[in-house]
Amino acid sequence: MTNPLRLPPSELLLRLALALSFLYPAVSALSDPYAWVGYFPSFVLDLAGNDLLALHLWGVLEAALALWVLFGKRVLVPSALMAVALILVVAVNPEQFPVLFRDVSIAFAAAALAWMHRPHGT
Amino acid sequence: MNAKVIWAVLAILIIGAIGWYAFSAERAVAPTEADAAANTEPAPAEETSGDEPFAALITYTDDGFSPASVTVNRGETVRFVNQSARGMWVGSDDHPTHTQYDGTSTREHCADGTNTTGTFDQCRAAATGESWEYAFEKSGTFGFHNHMGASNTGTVIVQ
Repeated sequence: MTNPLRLPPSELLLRLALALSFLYPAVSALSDPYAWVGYFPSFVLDLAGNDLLALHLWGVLEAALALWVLFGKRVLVPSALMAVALILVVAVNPEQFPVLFRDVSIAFAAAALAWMHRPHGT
Repeated sequence: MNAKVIWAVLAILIIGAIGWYAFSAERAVAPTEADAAANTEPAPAEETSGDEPFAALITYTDDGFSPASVTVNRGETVRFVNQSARGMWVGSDDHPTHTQYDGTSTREHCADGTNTTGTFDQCRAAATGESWEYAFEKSGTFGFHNHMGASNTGTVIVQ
């Protein structure tokens, strides 16, 4: 387990930014699920068979990624997954881009963290 | 102080703050079969009596809203009918706050599935077969979407 206090401030801030952006939806979905389930494409909900089940399974994954990127090692993996997930959210909701453009920015932050942790990278 | 203690306290504070904010929101109301039975509107009146209870009819299917854009006069009513396999919660853009019509958000104008301010927001999910009507009392171009499937959007132009 990584002690975030020992990280360079710039990396700590990147990790905090990503962790917050993935923790908040997971927690908020518990009280206001229909504010979040609307971002899922219908074929994903059909695969799950239950909208709320899909939402909360995704929430568990989000929380796991958030904790991993904040406290874990091999941060390349969660940060790369976060970047891909964020881009996918934007890609399947093009009509919501005026709101979701921020996800692109966060995806770049995730990509930056992944780049910092690339093999033999700095 | 031990760094682990500091981080534990910090983590609790962050999660607590997120949780407090998240749970302070009004709960969304999911459609039930009883709701559908109680709220299903009768067939358009013009089909039976010649009256015109609404100026435009928008049907929601699995492919989205059709027509995606309608034009009505101020004061006229638009009826939205859910003929999809999923829930339909019509709300003003933007998702998920629905602030475009009058500046208030769902947290402010939706309470327990009821619209408390009269803004352009269904505030609850309509089950298959259910419908919802809204009378537009001000002019403008108002984007809307299905809160339960935000990629499905449309526009009401009020002259």
